[in-house]
Amino acid sequence: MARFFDSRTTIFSPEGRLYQVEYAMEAASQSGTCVGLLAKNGVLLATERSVDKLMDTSIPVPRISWLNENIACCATGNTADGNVLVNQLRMIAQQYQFNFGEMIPCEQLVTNLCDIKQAYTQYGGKRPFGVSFLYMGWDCRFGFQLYQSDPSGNYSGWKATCIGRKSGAAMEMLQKELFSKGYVSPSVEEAKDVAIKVMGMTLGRDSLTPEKLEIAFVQRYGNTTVFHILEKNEIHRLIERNNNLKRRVGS
Amino acid sequence: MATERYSFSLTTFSPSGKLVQLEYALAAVSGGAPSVGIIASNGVVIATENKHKSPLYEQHSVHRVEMIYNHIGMVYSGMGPDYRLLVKQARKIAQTYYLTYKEPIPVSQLVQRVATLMQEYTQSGGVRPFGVSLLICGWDNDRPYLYQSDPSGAYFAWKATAMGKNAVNGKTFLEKRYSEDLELDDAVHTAILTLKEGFEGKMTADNIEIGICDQNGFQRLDPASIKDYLASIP
Repeated sequence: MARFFDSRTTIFSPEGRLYQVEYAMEAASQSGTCVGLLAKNGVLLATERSVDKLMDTSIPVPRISWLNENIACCATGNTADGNVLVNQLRMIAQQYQFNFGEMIPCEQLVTNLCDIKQAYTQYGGKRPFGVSFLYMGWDCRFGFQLYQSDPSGNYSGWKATCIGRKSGAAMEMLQKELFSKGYVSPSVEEAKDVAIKVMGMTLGRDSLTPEKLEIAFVQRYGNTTVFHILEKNEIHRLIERNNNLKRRVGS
Repeated sequence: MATERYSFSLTTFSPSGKLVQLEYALAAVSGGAPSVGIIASNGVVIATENKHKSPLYEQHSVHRVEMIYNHIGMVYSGMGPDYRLLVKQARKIAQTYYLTYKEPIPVSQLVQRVATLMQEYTQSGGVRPFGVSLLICGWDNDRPYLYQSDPSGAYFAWKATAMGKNAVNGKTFLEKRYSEDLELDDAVHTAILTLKEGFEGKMTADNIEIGICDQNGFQRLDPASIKDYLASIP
């Protein structure tokens, strides 16, 4: 009987649960961690990448995808599902720009995608998408923003958040780092350090290498939004700085 | 009636968040005949086993290595019939691209589109995922490319890789043997040697297939040239 309720996506179980959606959330919480931090002068995303000796490293496979000039996102969970939704996001952003002649506001893009995700939990009997997203972006009304969305179609705005493997522990760590002495919006530089620290915890400190990390952030210069992807040597420098700090605290 | 009954996803999440159908599809792949791909400095090679159960079988009548476009070739591990469908779709994708943009499709674009197709079969109503992993090789932008696309619709760029039966051994072998400045000829040798790891019986020009791709485009090697390669291997 239980099996009957959990393989159809569109019906409630007697307890009022949508099993497929819950399982999809489980799928999204098991793969690569992604951390997001809102800073006073930007937003930052950091995520882990898989490394394999035989991979062709000359072909970039970014995990953080640009959606338009103002917004980027990172997906965790089922990679292929993620690719499909990133395509949708880009489509939505372009469609808006075509219709209204201006950039889509961050929250509207997120809402639009979440409507699609929601539809998969209600119509047609297709399984939901097994991906969660972090979005970072800028718009003229609300400035820098950080959002999170999950397979059910829920979304929320954050100062700092984390999805994927060990996200629970990472959230605790973020809270300790940012709120223990009262919250002060960090600078992008400070956010980088916090991100490295959190990724160090989720990856295990020994496997914290520049190859395993992808860090990107958004800032504003004059009238343009600028995306930065950290170079390997920059990430290396941050890791070194993090290790030194730890040693000092230890002694 | 039948369409109504099966208009829901067959690939659904298990309580642990896994898509079990996809794992079974991957099992079909890793039980399938081994295939190998290697990038060389001046080209790329794909190779696979093509064994026949009976000596009465007409060899070289059905191919596993297929050309998709002048500069793109493909091979698979897993289920033959599923592969045939993907080959057909991939060729269609390549031609559609050409008709739209009046230029040959870049390898990365083809891979992306084939992968999207494979993803659709993990979510659409009434269908199961494809039971194949593809190796897609090609040449554009003055450089070789090698991609793998899985039943889930995830794809990866490799310098060298192995799929199907014995893939783990094949990959360890490649990790030891691979170097960036390999010439295409040497890469063909390495590919054959990788297939030889765990090859049951005697390897001949009739039970393996090789495709190479360089700046002149993709071609499937004829048995005579495979024989030459085999002759130079102890």
